Amino acid sequence: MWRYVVRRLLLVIPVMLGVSLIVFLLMHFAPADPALLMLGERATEEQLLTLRQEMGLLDPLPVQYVRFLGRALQGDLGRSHRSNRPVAAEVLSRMPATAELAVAAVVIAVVIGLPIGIISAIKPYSFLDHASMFMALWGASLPTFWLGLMLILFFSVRLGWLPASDRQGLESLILPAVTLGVGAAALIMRMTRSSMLEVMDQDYIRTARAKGLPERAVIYSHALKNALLPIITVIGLQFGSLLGGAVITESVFAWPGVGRLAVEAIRARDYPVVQGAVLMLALAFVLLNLLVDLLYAYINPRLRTRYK
Amino acid sequence: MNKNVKQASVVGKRRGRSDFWRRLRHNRLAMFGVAVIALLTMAAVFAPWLAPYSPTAQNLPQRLQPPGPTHLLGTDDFGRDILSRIIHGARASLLVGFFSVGAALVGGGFLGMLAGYYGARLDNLIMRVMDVILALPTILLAMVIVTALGPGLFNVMIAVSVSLIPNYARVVRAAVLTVREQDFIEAARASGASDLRIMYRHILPNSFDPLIVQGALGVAEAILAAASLSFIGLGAQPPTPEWGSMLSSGRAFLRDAPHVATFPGLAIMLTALALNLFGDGLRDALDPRWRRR
Repeated sequence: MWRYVVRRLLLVIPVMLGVSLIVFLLMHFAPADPALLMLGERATEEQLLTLRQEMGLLDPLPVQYVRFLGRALQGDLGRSHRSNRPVAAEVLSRMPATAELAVAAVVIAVVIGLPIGIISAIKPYSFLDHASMFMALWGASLPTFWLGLMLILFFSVRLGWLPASDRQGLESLILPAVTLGVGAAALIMRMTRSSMLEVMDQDYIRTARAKGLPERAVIYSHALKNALLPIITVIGLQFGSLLGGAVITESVFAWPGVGRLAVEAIRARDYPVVQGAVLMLALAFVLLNLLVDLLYAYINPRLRTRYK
Repeated sequence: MNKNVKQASVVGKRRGRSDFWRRLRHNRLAMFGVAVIALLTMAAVFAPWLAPYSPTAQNLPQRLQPPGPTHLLGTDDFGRDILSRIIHGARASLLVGFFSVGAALVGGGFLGMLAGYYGARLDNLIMRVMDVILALPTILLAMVIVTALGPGLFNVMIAVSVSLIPNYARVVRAAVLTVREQDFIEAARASGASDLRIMYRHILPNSFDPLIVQGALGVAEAILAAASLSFIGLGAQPPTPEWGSMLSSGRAFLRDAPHVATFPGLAIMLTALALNLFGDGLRDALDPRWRRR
């Protein structure tokens, strides 16, 4: 088991190196001169050249990348062109808000998706099953930003029940979490149904029924327990995806997370912040996927025995 | 004997194809999806003739009018007819969807084919690059690419297609791996067929089925991603009518003129739903075992 853990941990390194290279190159070729952004339009050519030299922008590209990587490994992601604050500090200060939103969205997704998926599987091809699968497809087709605006329209503007923006307590978390969670709920619904149907087709379920066990016991003690493994994997992976998906939701609700920081930085052409925000989100995504893989290997008795 | 086997194989293929079409036709939701997609495509192609007004013609005295007889879906903050802008916006959305997926299918299919066919180091290299791309959530990667290239619909297409490439590369690679070691491939090699011919004539057709399904579903994903990028100002630039940017500008008028944001969003949702219904229907028709799941 430890060999598998070490191997998976080591795989994270080349992936993150690749991500850092992509992000560095893309930001390097972005259409903006950092020296011009910092000194303004009135700066002379000589001043711009001096600042570019000081910032190392005139060095060869590989040298710039190695310098960037070296600093990043020490936690230094540069400084924001707008605020002059360290990028790492800005991004880290926003992470808790994004994590809070992602956790709340996953909770909502599981609370909605899991029971409906189970009921669909228990009564396959019934009206309830067709209706819930249509709902799942509809949920997957909803543009997140539009759903968010419609929820704001009804619950904040028309009814005045919930706040439309900012992070002020549990009430302000509901609408953004529902907006972000609906798409994930749709996927969990379908995955749960698919996984349960596959398990309920197995011989041991047939045996359990033949033994005269009550249907409730067959479903919850036998089928669901075995169907949960792939479902838990999907839920874990969704959590990672939601970190990226939160970008749009945070913009709609002015939620002070990393996603909104990245969007604001793009608009202001503050590329060190864009770089830092994207890197941190990618790292969180990769580590979460790693955790899900390790958890799956641990709780799946077949894999646990294989890796012992 | 050979002639009979050949005939049987042709008859078998024809029967298989007619079964596929029969199953697809009987799926009412998939047919609904097809009808909606057909209508949207017609709207996109014949937009200049179908739209009651020019999508960019401003009429400030008529700004923010609710739906009514002169403007069926109302007007926006510049007095532009929303229905006309939605019809013209279908062009942008469908173009982004089909172009992005088409480019991703070609790029991803090519890479997946190389990786699966040659295996070893090339497979490792290509799949690790795919892993790196997949390590960035789709919308983040697309955002970063558009930031580097500059805002605009064409750059959005490039960004979305790059983020979709790994999915198709994996599908094709998986299909190639199942077929690569089979006898008929060995026979083709022994008869002197080049690698390119083997890949094109024998291996690629085996990956059509999963690719078609992924492609149909991918168009929905591409349209949603492109609309998201336009919503945050990275996609189509004003005054180009595009559903995501229409929604973005409608945000400021949610309280007083909610129709400005509502109708473009409905258009996006309906399009994505139709494509997803069609994709699901394709999957069920191609592999009836999926219906059990």
